[in-house]
Amino acid sequence: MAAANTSDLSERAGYIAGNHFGLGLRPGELRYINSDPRGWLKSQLDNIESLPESLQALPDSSSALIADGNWRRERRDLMQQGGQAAVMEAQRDKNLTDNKIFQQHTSLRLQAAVDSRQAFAERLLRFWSNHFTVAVSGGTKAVLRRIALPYENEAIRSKLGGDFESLLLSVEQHPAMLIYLDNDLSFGPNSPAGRRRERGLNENLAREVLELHTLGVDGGYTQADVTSLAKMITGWTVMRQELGGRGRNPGKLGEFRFLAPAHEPGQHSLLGKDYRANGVRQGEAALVDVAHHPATARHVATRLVSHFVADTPLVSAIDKIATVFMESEGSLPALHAALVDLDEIWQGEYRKLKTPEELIISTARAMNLNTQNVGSTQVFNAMSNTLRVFNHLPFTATSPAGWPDEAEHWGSPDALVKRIEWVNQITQNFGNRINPEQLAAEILPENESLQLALRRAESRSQGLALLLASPDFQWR
Amino acid sequence: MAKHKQSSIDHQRRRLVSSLAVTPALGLFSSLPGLSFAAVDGGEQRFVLVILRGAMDGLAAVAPYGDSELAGLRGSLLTAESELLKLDSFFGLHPALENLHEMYQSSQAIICHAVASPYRERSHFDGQNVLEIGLEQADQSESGWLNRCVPLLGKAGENNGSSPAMAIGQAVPDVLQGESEVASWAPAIMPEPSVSTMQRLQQLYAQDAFLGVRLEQALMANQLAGRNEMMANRRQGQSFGVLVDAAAAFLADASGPSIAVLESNGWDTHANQGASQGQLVGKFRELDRGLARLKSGLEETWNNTAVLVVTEFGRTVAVNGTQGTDHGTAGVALLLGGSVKGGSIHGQWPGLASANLYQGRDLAPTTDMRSLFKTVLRDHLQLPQANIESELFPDSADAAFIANLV
Repeated sequence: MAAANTSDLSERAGYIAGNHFGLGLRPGELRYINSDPRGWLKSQLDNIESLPESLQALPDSSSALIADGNWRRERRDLMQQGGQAAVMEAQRDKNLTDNKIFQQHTSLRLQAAVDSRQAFAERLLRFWSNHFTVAVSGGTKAVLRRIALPYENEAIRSKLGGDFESLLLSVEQHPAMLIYLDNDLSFGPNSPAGRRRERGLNENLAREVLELHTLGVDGGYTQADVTSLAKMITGWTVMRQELGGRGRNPGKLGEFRFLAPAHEPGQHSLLGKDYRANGVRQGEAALVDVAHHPATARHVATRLVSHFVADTPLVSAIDKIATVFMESEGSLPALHAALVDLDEIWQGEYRKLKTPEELIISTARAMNLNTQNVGSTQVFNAMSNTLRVFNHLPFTATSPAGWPDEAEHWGSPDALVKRIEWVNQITQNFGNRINPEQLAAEILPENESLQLALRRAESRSQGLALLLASPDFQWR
Repeated sequence: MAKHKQSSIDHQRRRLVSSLAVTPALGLFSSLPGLSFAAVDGGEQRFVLVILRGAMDGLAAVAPYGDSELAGLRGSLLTAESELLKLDSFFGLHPALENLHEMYQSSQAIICHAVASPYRERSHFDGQNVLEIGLEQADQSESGWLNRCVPLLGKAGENNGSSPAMAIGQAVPDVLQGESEVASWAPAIMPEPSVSTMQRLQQLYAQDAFLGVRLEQALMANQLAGRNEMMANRRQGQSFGVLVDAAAAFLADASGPSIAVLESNGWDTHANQGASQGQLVGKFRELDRGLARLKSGLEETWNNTAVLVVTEFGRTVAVNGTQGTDHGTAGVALLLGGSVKGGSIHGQWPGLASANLYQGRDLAPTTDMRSLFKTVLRDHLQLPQANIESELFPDSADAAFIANLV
């Protein structure tokens, strides 16, 4: 084993690339990262949009929405024929099926991360998915259980090679986001449909667009701006079922639809600029301007830096990223490459506590747990159950702000014990063929006290538990 | 509010435990409770292998009080001669091993001293691997010797696919790994990390400003820390007891497996090992009570049973700087059960004089561990000697069979 000098930054670069930018090193990976860590990261930006193998058979969100529409029609029929009891029974079955599909999706998502050979791309996907959070719930939103994961791929992953503007538009016009933040229910109060049905504005999506997705809470907008944007995106809804009879259903079932009769008429202003009445283009023009606003650049840069560098916002890094954002007009590949070029990260002084999801993914990667080795996809179901216990199951964030990624949030005393217990369990189950000392060199920079502890461990599985529960592995 | 916090932690732990316990993947190697075994023809013989991981201190378990060098080398770790349970005029058992002593007196236990596998380095992992694959060096094979003996038992094919060999514990140990199917059973509860694991982690976490403090807080709240060592020992004892009870139930079943492997962790006593009280005593007591429970749980099946208790290597003869012992070479193995010709001590005593020690520090090996394995397989499980020599323990000609063990 080559002795690495811990003060030699170039020796650590491979580990930083794999653990800090990626989702944790897999055994053997370091060898081909080491020749050019930055190049390895940047090369992943070229095919960042490609769908991981485990997700390729996933149905798209429109077919799930059509199936959901069909189900709602069947339920109506059932109500007439079989009455309340029959509906309740059918609803129970439907809920079970939805939950099962959601569990399959979270398992597949986990598998994609564990198997990934371009983990920086997967991390970026997860960052943006969290930035544009949708979370599952019940009632008319139950369909989110089936479309949250398709949303992530359709609206986010497929746009990561482009610019922030297209990403923003694809997210805000995706059925999942429109349903999650209630815009499908928002009507222009003075629109024909709004008047006829006595329905009005729902500001939910417009507020989160400005507060979370773009400008940021201190981005200089007012309540009037929120109301105004909400009006401009009225009529942005989802074609969930045939409206029947009138023969004027533009758009396809299960997809975004601009419902002109629900759109608030007239000109509206946002951040001091007027947007003329122009149908769906009115809201789109407003979003395009917001996407290129300096406050958006700053807000996005702050979130990226806090995710990739340190919990405490590092102003020098934020400045660099925000400048790249403005100069490249929001080019995502340029932003992502700028992260790779942040010297602050390569100096190795900053660290982030792994979230539970990151811990589980990186553990599975380190132990090379995959369906071939374990002989079953069940291991991913079990891991996604564990995520639920840690309150970090994908698409279940309790607010549209998504999950925090600060150490204070995830590093409570009892959470630490839970993490240790989980590591202990999984290493006992699957770890007795792994040599902890060899693995340590493959996944973590040299650390004498850890190596000593591994050498003195009383069994392989204890050594592996010590390695994966060690502080070195809890941070990235 | 401390009380409230505690219950919240317990609640969360229960949730964690149950969510893991019900998921099939983490019990992947566990068999279902209803698992049934076809009858083993003529196979009333039962064999239990107990692996003590971490290297049990053989000189503390079976003290050669008759060796004049012992007291000088062992110092504070020496159990007073008056407290030892005498086996003869030279050896005495540690006082915590009272059930073993009783078995010895009723001719149901054999003590093998100065025994070692062919492994001569001092890594736990490699040492355990050599012990379990039955070869001269670590990682020379993917299969363990008990796995390789499954086809020789000749019943697997007629057994509804269930194997005559079974792992009792969270994972299938190396000794049972390999091409042949083996059964396994694990308790449904997620075990808490052992005290030993938590103590080692505490040391690592102490160097981390953020995590160290929080782990300490959690451990205080959870009473997982050494503060309540008695509780901790009891919990560990219970967990070995659970394995023993399960093994007894499976083996006592007429259609059950004929071989079971159990593991016990926590024998790596580098610091504060203790003499008549302390860390190691807890382990001895746990083992001793476990063996007694196995005997009583097996009922009549005990009469057809041989239990072999082994560890990867012994520990240094001298006390180290932290009132413990470090990794050594030769140690003790125990063979017990209704079918052993017990009441004797096997092995040639190499002596503790400096010139007689292995590399000047360890008890020198005089019996090859494989001799015990081979003899049990031939004389107890009635496996053909030719296969034992060629397939299970190749290159073990020097490890001769031992007469009159079983």
